[in-house]
Amino acid sequence: MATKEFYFAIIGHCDQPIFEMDFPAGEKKSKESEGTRHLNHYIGHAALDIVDEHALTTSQMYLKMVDKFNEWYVSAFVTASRIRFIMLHTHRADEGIKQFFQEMYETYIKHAMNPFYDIDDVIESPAFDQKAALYGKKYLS
Amino acid sequence: MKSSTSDFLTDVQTVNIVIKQIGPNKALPAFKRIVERCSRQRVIQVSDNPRRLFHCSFTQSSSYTEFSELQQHRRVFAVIGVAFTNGHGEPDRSTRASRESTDSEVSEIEQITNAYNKLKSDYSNIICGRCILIGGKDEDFNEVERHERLCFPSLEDATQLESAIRELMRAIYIVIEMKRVDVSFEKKQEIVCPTLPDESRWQVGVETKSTKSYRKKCLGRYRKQHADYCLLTGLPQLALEAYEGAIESLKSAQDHLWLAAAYDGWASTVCILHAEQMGEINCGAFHRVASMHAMLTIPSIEINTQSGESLSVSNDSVLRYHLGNAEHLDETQVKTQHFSSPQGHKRHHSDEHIRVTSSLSNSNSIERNESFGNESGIVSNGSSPSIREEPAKVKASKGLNPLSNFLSDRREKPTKERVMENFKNAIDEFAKFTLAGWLEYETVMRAIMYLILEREYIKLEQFHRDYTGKYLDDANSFMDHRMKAQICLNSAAMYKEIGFLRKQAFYARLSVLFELHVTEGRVRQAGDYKTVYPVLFKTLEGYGVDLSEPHDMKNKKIGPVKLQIKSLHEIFTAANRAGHRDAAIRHLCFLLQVYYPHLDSSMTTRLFDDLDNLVKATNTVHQLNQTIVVDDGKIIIPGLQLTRFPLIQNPTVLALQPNLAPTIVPSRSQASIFIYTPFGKKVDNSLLWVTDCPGEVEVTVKNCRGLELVVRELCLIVEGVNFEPVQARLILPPEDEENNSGSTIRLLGVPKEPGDLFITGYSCNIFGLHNECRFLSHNSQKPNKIRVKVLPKLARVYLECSLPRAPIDEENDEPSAEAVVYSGRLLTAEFIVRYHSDITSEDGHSFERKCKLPIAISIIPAVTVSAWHVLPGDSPFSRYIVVDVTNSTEHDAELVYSNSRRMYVLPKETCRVPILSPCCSDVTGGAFHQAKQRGSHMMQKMETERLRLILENHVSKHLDIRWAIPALNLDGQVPVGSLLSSVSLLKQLVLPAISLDFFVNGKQYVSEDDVAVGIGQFVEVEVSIISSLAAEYNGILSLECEQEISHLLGSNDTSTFMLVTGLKKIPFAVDKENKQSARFSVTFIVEGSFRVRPQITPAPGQNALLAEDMFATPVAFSVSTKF
Repeated sequence: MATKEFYFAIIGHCDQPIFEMDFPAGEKKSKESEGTRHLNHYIGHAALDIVDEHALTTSQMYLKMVDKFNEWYVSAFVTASRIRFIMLHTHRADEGIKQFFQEMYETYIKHAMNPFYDIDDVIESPAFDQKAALYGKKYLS
Repeated sequence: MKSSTSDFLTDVQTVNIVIKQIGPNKALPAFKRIVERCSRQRVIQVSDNPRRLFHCSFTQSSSYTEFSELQQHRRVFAVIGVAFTNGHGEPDRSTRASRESTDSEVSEIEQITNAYNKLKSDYSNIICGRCILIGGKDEDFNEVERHERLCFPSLEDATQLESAIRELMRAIYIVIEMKRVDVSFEKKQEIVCPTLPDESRWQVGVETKSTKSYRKKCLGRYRKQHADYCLLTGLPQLALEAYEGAIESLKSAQDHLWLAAAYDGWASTVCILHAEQMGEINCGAFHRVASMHAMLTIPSIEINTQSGESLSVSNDSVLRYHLGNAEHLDETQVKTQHFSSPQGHKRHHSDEHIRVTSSLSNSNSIERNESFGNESGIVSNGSSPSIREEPAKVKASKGLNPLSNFLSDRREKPTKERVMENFKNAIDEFAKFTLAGWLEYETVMRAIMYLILEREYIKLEQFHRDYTGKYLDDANSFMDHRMKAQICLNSAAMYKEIGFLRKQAFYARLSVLFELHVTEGRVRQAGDYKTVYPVLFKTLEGYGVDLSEPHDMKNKKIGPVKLQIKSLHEIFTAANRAGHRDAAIRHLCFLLQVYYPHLDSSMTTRLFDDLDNLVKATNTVHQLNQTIVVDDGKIIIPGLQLTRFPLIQNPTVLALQPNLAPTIVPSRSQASIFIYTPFGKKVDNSLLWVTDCPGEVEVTVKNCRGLELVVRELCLIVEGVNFEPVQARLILPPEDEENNSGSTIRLLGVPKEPGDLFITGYSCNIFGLHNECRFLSHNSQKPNKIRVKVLPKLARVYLECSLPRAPIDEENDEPSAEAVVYSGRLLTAEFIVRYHSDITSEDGHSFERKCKLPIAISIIPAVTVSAWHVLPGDSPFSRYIVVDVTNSTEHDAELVYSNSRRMYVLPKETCRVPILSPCCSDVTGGAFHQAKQRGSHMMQKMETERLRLILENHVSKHLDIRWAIPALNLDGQVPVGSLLSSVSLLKQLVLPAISLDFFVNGKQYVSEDDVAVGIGQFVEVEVSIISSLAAEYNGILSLECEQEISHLLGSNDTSTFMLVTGLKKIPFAVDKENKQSARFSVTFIVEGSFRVRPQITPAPGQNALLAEDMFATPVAFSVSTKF
């Protein structure tokens, strides 16, 4: 059975990724995984249209699985301020992804309340990284 | 190839006409024009009550014609051959008229005739054909049937082409209409079953023609074809009925392929009806209505009449045309408006249909129902089941569902679910036949079109993903990579229509990957890249890249940077390999301009290398400011401002030099009656330039590259008046931590005429490219237009000096002069003032310029006075002024003093010059003392100054020391100003009250040399007492002896060491006329140097003498033991 792979990205208002992380975390990035990262960017970016469409028609933040391309499923979560969380995953894990999104939402809110952080800026906080890795390990393994 | 998703839908009601170029002479541009003219006639109105439209498409090729029995819209109903006789469609009439028939002409005619016949034979099922002959004579082509010949002398003279095409369309329509009305198959017992050409090959088993099932199959197929004819002849409502009947029959006959086609036909017809209802599909042109506003605003339709006049009518009157049968609809234009999402993409909302349909139900329901009611009436003579007239009123509740509006009276309402179900049924049925793969795909796209009409974008996306995925799968060997690329392109076009630009970009890029897929034994050609370049170019919008927008370098939120860089690099590569050099350069420059901070160093180096190679590949200079047109005008790449290389900011217009800067002097004749008024027009003197006078703009230039940057031909861009910029060349050092603030330079230019000059930007040649940029303001990104008022040519005063020019100050280059003189030299300089004026005043104002000539004078000391002393002269009435003169130069100096006395001073040496000066008798000895007795300080000063001036005048006559340096050919006067201003010196030149003159052993003592005597040796010292006083002076003269110990400690009274024999004190009485002598005989009893000084004790009643009242030089004795 193929390994479960996840790619998580927080997308800003101009479609720019402000945070990215692969799960399982900690693996050394090979050349192949760099190529996959590019593909993930394309798939995630293309899914934003349907994410936005969902966001217009539903009041739910968690949008479940919104798109699929080849082996990659795309799940999404839209915050109240229209920041989009995108998760590309090779296996269905709806419940885990939902809980991960919820935890990351809270972490993001805390980070966004930092007066030195501007909305849509790239998140470079190591604490945020650690939190994301922790929740990834907890819910996405 | 479908240009839009709606084409999949409109195709099912469109008759195919193949138009091809035939004959030996080919003229592609002219042929394209003919095709374009024919395509404009793609819709004709064949009946106005009910309104029936007949659609045709003019294609150069047809595909899947083998399924024309299954789906009539695939059939080619007519062919048009287009032939150009000798002259490529533009033959000369005069030459042609006189031309005799030749063998070559005969062969050309034969070739055209044969080609036309072959074209007709290629499509055996055609109803009719036309041969358009441009440049040929009608009678030459008798082989072609008369009614099929359309001969025109030239393309311009082919005014009847359109009407002929419409005639052809009407002919086709009549034939199809005849087939439509023929419903005898419903009653016939023996009917021939319509079959596909190769149907028997894949049919399993042997069919018994006598069975009920076979009968149903035949009937179902006939009904299906009948329904197709209804649809093609503009009767979709009837088609719907017929499709329902066909489905019923074919389902029971288990005829899957035809059932699939029937399902597809039914669902497509519903779609067409729905789209027509929405006003989105009409006359063959599909337009999306994207907003409430657009729905409520009735779109206009342009109608062209035969005579060429055009008029516009609103859409609600489209159903009521009364322009005759020959009239046709040309183009329908519905203006669309899009909602904008927060992300900047134009898109629809999924809940639009609720608003849209509610508006529809109010505006169009009556028109619509009338149309349907009439339609059912006109076909009542046929065997198709009649439809009863619909009530004019439609219930408001039905308006919520667009379908329910027109199908409200159906037995089974075609709900959204049913339509989609039928589409899915069709797809499932088609899926059973591998050879019908493309038919299945077209059905999928029609289903998607339906979801677009319903604004069900989420469902659409899911449906599209579920049903098109399998076509793109590697396992799908039925379709090659080009077909897959086409499928992706269709998906991209579909997503673009609904405003999903990111999806569109994704699928467009995917299509490029399929297009460039390399099969074995094939390499990618430039043509492949030419194909994919426009596709990739159109993905830029989806990735948030806007080439036309001036880029703000401070804007951090430019979108998904990594994707943008990658896609731009792909586009650059495609353009480069496709041979679009200019486009490649433009994309590369855009990449560097916008994304330079985001590029890693290796990629930056690679990109600059690529740019260098591209620039070197040709001699022409790429103009970055010009728009590039690629792919026959389909792609327009806007100009680019490469503002990052170099970074030129903060333009500041500098005022002219002080001697050139004008000021406006308001006209005095128009002086205001008010001393001050806030409404008075102020004269702005801030930024004034003058015609033909170079002006300067200061800018900050910065190189943000790690390498040296060479900027050539850097100059200003201005508007308003004629201006001659001066080009500059810069070599900017690489950026580092120390040098990152940039440097300031000045750009020059000469305005050539008066007026308002607007400095807008700059141009330069960078990396071998011509670059033009606007100056941007500091805060906003608005263009920074600096206004400078240019005055007419003004008069100018030139000040010149014979002295050499002084070194130019960095801030100021106004005329100046410099002189270097030696102290004591006489300085002369000539000043030339030139005045030039051809001034013309403006608005009553006059202009003013000021000019000045500063002169810098450096004085170098030559021969100067370093010290001076006053010594007794050769008589009591004269003094020696001893001046120590220093030669500061590097050369020998010759001194001339006291008229003819000469002396040489070596360089850097000092020599003593004795100048004999008589005492001044104009000032008495006690005059200075008396001056100090004055009542106030001021009076004392004034009196002292008066006395000093008298003495200065007296002394200056004698104190004339001239110097000459022969080596430098210079001469001058030794400056003695300091001497003359010294009161202490001048005081000593006053004639004293009493002067004492010494004679030692009968000889006058004049020098300061010591008189050598032995111990005990008697010396005769005679003192002559001379008075300058008018009155007699009485006193006692005695001698004192003192010994100088040192300069610091002074002298010690040593009178005891000197013995005076005889009279020690001698009384005297002197006046101005009478002098007296006194003799002393002295000896010394101790060795040493002694000075003998006279001492005068005034007689009783006489005033004591002050120090300056008595002048006596002490006599110095050197006493030794041996003599």
